[in-house]
Amino acid sequence: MSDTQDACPPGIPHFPFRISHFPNVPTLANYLVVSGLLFSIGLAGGLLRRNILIIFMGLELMLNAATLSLVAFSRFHLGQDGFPRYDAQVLVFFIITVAAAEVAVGLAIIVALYRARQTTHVEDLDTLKF
Amino acid sequence: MSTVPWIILFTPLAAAAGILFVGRFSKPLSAGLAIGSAAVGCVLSWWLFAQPDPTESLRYYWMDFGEVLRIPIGVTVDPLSKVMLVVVTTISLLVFTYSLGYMKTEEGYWRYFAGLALFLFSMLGIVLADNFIMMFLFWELVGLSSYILIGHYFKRDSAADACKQAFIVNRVGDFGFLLGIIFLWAATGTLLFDGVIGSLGRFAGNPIYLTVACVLLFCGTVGKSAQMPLHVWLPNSMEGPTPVSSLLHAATMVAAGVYMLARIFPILEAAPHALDVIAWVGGITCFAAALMATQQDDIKRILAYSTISQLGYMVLGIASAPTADVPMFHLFTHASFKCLLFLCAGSVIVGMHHEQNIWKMGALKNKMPFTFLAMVIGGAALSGCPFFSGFYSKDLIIAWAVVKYPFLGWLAVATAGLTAFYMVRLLAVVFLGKPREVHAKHAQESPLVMLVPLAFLSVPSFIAGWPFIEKIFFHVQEPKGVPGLLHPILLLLFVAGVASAYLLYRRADKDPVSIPLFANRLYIDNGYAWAVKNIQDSGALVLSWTDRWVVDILVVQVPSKLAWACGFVLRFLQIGNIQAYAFFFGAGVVGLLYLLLFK
Repeated sequence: MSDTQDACPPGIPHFPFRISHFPNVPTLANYLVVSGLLFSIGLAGGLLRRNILIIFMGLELMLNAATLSLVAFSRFHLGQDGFPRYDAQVLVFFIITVAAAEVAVGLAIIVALYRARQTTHVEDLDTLKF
Repeated sequence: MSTVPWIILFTPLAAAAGILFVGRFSKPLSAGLAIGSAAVGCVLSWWLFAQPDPTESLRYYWMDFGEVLRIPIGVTVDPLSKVMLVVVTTISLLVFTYSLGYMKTEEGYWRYFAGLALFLFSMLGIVLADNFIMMFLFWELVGLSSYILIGHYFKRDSAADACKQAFIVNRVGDFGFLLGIIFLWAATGTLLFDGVIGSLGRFAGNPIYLTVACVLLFCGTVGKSAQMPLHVWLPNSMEGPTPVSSLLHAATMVAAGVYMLARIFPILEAAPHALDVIAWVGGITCFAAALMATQQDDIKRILAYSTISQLGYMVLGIASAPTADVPMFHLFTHASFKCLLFLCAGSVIVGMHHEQNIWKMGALKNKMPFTFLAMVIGGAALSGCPFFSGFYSKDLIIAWAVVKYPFLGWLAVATAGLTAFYMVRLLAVVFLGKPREVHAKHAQESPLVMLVPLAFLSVPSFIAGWPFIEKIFFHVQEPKGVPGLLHPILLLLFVAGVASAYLLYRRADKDPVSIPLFANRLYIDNGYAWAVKNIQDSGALVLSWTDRWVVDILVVQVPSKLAWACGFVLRFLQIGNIQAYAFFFGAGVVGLLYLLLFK
C-alpha cells in the first residue's frame, strides 16, 4: 500500500480508501463504500421509518446497493485475458427487470392495503400477532 | 407366427376395455365383444395347435435392472401351453355363449361380460407366461377377476363374503408362491422357467433349499387349485353366477394351479421330497373332498367338492407320474365334463327359478330331457364309467399313484367309488323320484342358446379320453407293475357306487343317510371360523392396545403436546410490528455471519 501512496503525485490530498495513483478514477473500494452507504441508508429507512412507502423505498435502496456491489466486483475482476468479467453485469439487467416487476407488485399491494385500511403506517398494521 | 400368441392374449383384454366403454349403452354389443374375443382366441388357438413350435424368441424385457434383475414378458409356445390354450379358449367360448341365455334377465349384464373377458385374459396370461414374474402377475389377475365375478351379486351378503373369502384365501397361497419365486431367483439369478430348469445343477449340493422352494411354489397351487387346507373358498365361490362357476372349475382358475405345477415339472422332479408333500396333499384332498361331496344338498356345492376331489387327483398325478402329460390329460378331460356338469346344473337352476337345493327338485327327467341326458354323460365321465373320457384319464393317474405311493393310490381308488356314489345321488335326487316343490312341477327345458353348448361339450366329455384323441394332444404311457386287480376293482367300485346310490336315493324324499361330519365339511370351515375368532381376535386385542397406548400416546400425543408447548412459548415473539420482524431478521443475519466468519 505504501508503494502506491508514495507514487501519488504531490498536491493531491490523501484519502484513506484510494489505492490507485490516478486521481480521478474511482476504485473498487469507492464503489463498495457507496454500496455500503446505500445499504445502510436503506436498512435504516426500512427499520426506522413508519410509512410503508418509505420502507419500501428503503428496501429498493438495499437491493440496488447489492446490485451496485455486484457490478463493481464484476468490473474489477479481471479474467485470464486481462478483460473484466461482464457476466455479472448481464445478470444485473435481469435483476433490474425483476425488481421493476416486483416494485409494480409491491406498490399494487400497498395501494390495495391503503384502500382496505385507509392507512400506510406500519404501527397501525399490527393485527397479525399472538 | 410370432404375433399370434400375443393376439390371443390381448384380444380379451381389448374386449374387456371395450365393454367398459360401450357396455352401458348396448347389451348385445357387450356380449358380442366378449364372445367375439373368445372366438378369435379359440380359432387362433386351434390354428396355433396345428403349427409346429416356433423357433424364434417371443420375449421382451419389461424392466431391466442390469445383470441383477431382468423382468421379462414373453410367451411360451410348446405342446403344454398349446393344449392348454385350446382347452381354455374353447371352454370359454362355450361358456360365454351359454351366458347369453343364463344372464338374459340378470342385472349387471355388461359388468358380467367385461369380467368374463378379463378372466379369460388373465388365464391366457398364465398359460402363455414364460417366466415366474409374468405368471405371478396373471396369477393375481385371475384372483382379481374371480373376485369380481364371484361377487357379481354383491348386494347379497353371502356373495360379498364369498368373493372376499376367495380373494383372501388365495392370497395366503400366493404369498407362498411369491416366496418360492424369490427363493429360486435368489439361487439362480433368473426368473425364466427355462433358465431355472437349466441351472438346476446348482442345487445339487443343497437339496433342502430346492425342496423348500418347491413346497413354497406348491402353496400357490394349494390356494388357486383349492387343495386342503385352503379349499374352503371353492364351495363358497358357488355364490357367483353358474357360468362363472363352470368357467372357474373347468378352465380358467383352478386349472391354473395344476398347469403351473406342470410348467415347473422338471424343477419338481429334482426335489423328490417336495413331490412327496404334493402327493400327500393331493391324495388327502382327493379323498376328503369326495367324502364331503356325499352329504351336500346344494347342487353346485356337490359339483364344487367333486372339482376339489378331481384336482386332488391331478395334483397326485403330478407327484406320481413321470411326465406332466398324465395330470394334464385328466385336466383336459375334466375341463370338458366338469364344464358340462356345471352348465347342466345352471340349466337346472334356471329351470327351477334359481333354486339350488337338490331336495326341492325331483323328477326333472321328463321336464328337461336334454339337460338330463347331458348331465348323465357328464356324470358318467366324472365317475369313471368305462369308455367315457374320465375313465381313461383318472384310471391312468390312479395306476401311477398305486405304483409310486401305494397308500395314496388305494385312497384314490376308494375315492373313485365315492365319486360314482355322489354323482348318482345327485342325478337320482334331481332327475328321478317325484317333484318335491312347486317349481319342480313346472320346470321347463332351457332355451336353445344354453343347450347348444351342452351338446358341444357332451361330445368331448364322451370321447376326449379315447386313445386316438389322447395321442393327438399328449404322450402318456402306462406304468409298469400295476397290480392286476386294480382295474377290476375300479370297475367294481364304480358299479357298487352307482348301484348303492341308485337304490338309496331313487325314491328318497329326504336324505336317508345322515353323516354330520361330512355334511359339515369335516368341520374345517368351522375350524377356520374358530381360528379367526380366537386367534385373530386376540391378535387384534394386542394390536388395539398397542394402538391406544403406544401409537396414540407415545407417537401422537407426546410430540403433539411438545410442539404445542414450543409454539406457546415462541408465539410471544409475534408482536405484530413488521419492523421488529425486520430487525430480528437482520440481527439473525448478523449473528449468523459473525458465527460463520469470525468464530
